[in-house]
Amino acid sequence: MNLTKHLLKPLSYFGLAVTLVPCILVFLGEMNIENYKNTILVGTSIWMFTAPWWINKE
Amino acid sequence: MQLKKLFAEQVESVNEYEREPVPKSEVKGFKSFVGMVSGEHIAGTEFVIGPLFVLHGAAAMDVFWGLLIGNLLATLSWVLFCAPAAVKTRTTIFYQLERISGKGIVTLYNSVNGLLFCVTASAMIGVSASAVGIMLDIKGPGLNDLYPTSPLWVGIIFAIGAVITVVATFGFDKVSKFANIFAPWMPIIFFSAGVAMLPQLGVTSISDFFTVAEEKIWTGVPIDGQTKYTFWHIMIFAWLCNSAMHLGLSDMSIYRYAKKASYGIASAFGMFIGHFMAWLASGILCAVALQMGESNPSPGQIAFMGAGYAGLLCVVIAGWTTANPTIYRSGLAVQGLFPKLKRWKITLIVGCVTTVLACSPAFVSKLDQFLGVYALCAAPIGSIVLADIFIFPKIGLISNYAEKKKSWLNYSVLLSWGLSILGSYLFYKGFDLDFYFFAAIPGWLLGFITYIITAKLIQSKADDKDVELENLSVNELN
Repeated sequence: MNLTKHLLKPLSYFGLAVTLVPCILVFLGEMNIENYKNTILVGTSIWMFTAPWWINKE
Repeated sequence: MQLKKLFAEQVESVNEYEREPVPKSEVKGFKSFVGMVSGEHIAGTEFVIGPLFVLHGAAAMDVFWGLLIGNLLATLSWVLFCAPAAVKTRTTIFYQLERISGKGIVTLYNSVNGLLFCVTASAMIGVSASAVGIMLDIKGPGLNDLYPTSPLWVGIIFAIGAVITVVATFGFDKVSKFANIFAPWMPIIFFSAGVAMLPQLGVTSISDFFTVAEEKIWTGVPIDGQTKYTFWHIMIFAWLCNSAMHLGLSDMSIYRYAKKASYGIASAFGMFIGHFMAWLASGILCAVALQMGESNPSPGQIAFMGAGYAGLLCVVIAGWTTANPTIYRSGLAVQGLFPKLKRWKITLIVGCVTTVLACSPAFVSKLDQFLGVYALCAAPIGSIVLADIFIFPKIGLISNYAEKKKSWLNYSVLLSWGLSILGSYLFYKGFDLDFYFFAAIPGWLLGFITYIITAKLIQSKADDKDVELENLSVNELN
């Protein structure tokens, strides 16, 4: 199994989604600011720990 | 010891083709440029420029149309001028200018440019430091401050400067890879911060946005002590804030690696994400800060308010990804002055100078004015080089005149550069303008026209001299 293709890359994109979606939930009144800030920090961490392993190898 | 040896091997092996055309085997694909320019134009300073439009009382429609048209013109400047010149010559602006104007001019140009790049990069370091300061609970200077606030803050500047300098020392490849990692993530943080703060201003649906934008964000009323920005200020700023890079051709350093001239379109990613979306988002954040009673917020404060610790990370990294290529370019400029010194050693010295300059927050608070001076000084050189590459062969004039005549100083370049700077300054004063950028295009055009005229005069005079010398030697033989 290609670890980069099947695990790291999808995980990186999941991290980006976790960073993007909360602001829309705040805008719609479905999430408070504190939860939004914590969630995007988690998304950021996922991206930063997974993307460097594949992004420059493509 | 091992690490030292590894570092020495790594940097010695970097060949950046500073004094020769980039070979075909070294050209890079489109994606490489998208990553590079997206990272570069989504800088920490976007957290400074977006708020400037709010503080200067720009109206909402002026901001939207000004940014749209200005960024389109900036992209076209890369596509139509910078990238074609870079792909045709495959050299840096510094080496190309040396071939055209001789060592004399290029020494002056490289000194000016190297210093200007250092100042720009120092602003990026200052912005990054404002975010690190919040993480470490150290009070940094606000957007209107001119002096450092504490020795600890200076310590942060030195730490950030050291990291940026080491990365830039490793050359274009490492700079590009570093930027690639963060390019997709940074715009999302800017976007998130802007959207999440909208409800604080009373926007709860998309249809509310324009009404609130006109009433609470870009109100059309400047804060006390600031001049008023109109559509023209915004449009010309968006177009020309990077004029040294596109019309001034300093991005030849980057696009000489492009397979095709059309890769210049990659700059649109930087412009419309970094100089459109990010400026709007940081403007929204500034309006929220003003509403909360903070009249002098730092970029770090604005980012923390909008996106928490992820926002602070974004400011730090956005500062790095812009400062890195800027220090790299500055290293190339100074390389022209000391061609025998290794580029990595020069970049190291340039990085140290930049770090020292970054200790003054004045470079952040006066960023728009500084960029205006930069545009007036550096952009006319681009028009001279463009005329030499594309116009001279068509009208029978000699390109790369100094190289062919083995001349130290091409007077036509000196005259046209001097006249264009003087002309744009007189234009600025004569029309009593309140923005340096308004004088940049007249200066650029003046450089283009005067260079063709003066080169025609000087080259025909030199031809007459050559004929006289030939006749003289024939007569002597007879």
